[in-house]
This record gives sequence, C-alpha cells and structure tokens, in this order.
Amino acid sequence: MTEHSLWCFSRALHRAINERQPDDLAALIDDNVEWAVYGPIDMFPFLGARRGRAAVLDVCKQIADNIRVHRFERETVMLGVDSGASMMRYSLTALDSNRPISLRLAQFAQFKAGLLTSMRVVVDTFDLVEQTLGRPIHLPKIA
Amino acid sequence: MNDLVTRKCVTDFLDAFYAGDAARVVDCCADDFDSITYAPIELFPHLGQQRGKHWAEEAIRIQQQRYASRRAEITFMAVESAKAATTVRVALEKRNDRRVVQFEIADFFTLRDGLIVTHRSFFDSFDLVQQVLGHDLTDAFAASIRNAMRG
Repeated sequence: MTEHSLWCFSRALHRAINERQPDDLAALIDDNVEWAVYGPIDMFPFLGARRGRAAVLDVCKQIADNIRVHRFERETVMLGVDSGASMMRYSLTALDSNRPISLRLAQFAQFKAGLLTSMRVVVDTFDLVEQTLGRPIHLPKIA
Repeated sequence: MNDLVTRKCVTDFLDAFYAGDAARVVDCCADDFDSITYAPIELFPHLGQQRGKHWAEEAIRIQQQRYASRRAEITFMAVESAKAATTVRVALEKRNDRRVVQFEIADFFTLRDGLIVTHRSFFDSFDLVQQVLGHDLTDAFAASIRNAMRG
C-alpha cells in the first residue's frame, strides 16, 4: 500500500525547517504550487501567499531562519485520494528570542501525482501576535 | 458512519448558521455539542469555548445584531466517516458603518449518530479584529513583533 502524499510532504517539510535540508521538500512540490498561510505579513514576513516551487522553498527557508519546531501533534486528520486536511498543535520557539510559542492550526493540502499543488494554512493569528509580544493586547469589549 | 450523512449534516449546519436559522442549526447538533472557535472573546463573546447546542441561538442573535447581511460559500470540504473539515469564505456587512468584513474560516467537525458533537474553528483572527474595529493595528505592533522575533 502506497503511503499518502501528506505523510511524505509532512516529513520533508519538518526536515526542511528543523534540519535545513530542503532537498526532499523540493522534490515533492509542483512547479506551480499555490501556498497561503493567512496572517499579518508586516509582522511575520514568512506568512502570506506564494506561488511556485522556488517561492515556497524560499519561504520555508525564512521559516527555518525564524522558528524551530519542538513538537507537533495531529489532533485530527482527514485524507482524500489527493488531499489532506488536518488540525495540528505545534510547540515552537522563535529562534533569536528563544520565546516559546504554542499554537493550533488548520492545514489543507492538495496533491497531484504525489506533488503538492496547493497548501492553505489558517492560524489564530491574534493569539500568535500576543504570544510573540509576550503580553496581551487589550481590546475594547463589545457586548 | 456514511460519508454522505456526514456531508449532509455539516452542509445543513453551515447553511443554517449563516442563514440565521437557529432551529435548523440546533437540529444538526448533539445535546453535548462542544465548540471551540480560536478567537479573542473580548470582541467575539459568542466564540471561544461553548457547550450545549443552544449556543447557536446566542451566536446567531449576536451576529444578526452586528451584521445586516451574512453571506457564506463553502470552498472546500473533506469527509472521512464521522469527521469533516471545511473552509468557508464569509462576508458580513456591519450595521454600524456598512463596511463588509471578509474572511476565510476553517471548521472541523466530529459527528456521533448523525449529529455534530465537536466543532473546532480557526480564522485569521488578527485580520478580522482589524476589520471589525475598522482600523489597522499593524503599525502599533509590527516593530515590537520584529524585535521580539530578533530577541
């Protein structure tokens, strides 16, 4: 039985980020991949949309330059023939400040012939900003 | 559980929620329905962790109070037995200034006996806070964030 593309991609992505070894990842990305991690790009330049393999490898390098993944857990996963949706919990460190960050995210991946063609990631970015700042942001209460 | 049953229940839930039909939403949920939407509850008191299917009535009441119109389109759905994941593109017209806020929301559902028992939801909450407040927060925090990332 062939392994689902999501598992190969996931291993390669974490190798690219934590070990700075992008070769496996490069081999699993379609030339015209669409990539979007929704979030404030002025604060986190490695968020936002990218298109094409080179741009995605570049942004993964930017992620590797900024964070280290300590632990991740897939809390839910759904696999289609050429797609995967998962809810994940990550423990990260912002590399330079050594500040720990814990977040949950939703990941939606699509594949064609084993190559990643689309990736969309949704994060509770308000919580991410507060954790990175190390303090709460006070908001007005709306009844 | 049959994928078709799961797909129909989740589609009904989302259609009814954005149509403001609380009774139909409640009909899709188990009595011990448990929902977490990861978002700041100061601005979104109907989100965060909610228990019991009657949460839907309060959530819909708050949304109808704040927004003159609500439109939603399911852009992705994956179903595997009793589990489903969706992305929905949402547009809400604010009553106070008539501006339209738009966002993409990711929802995960687990069903039991054909009814939704757990619901987890994510969106780009920083962006939605800015849209709801009607002003940009980036300038206030971008430099601090960059410094924090640098240490």
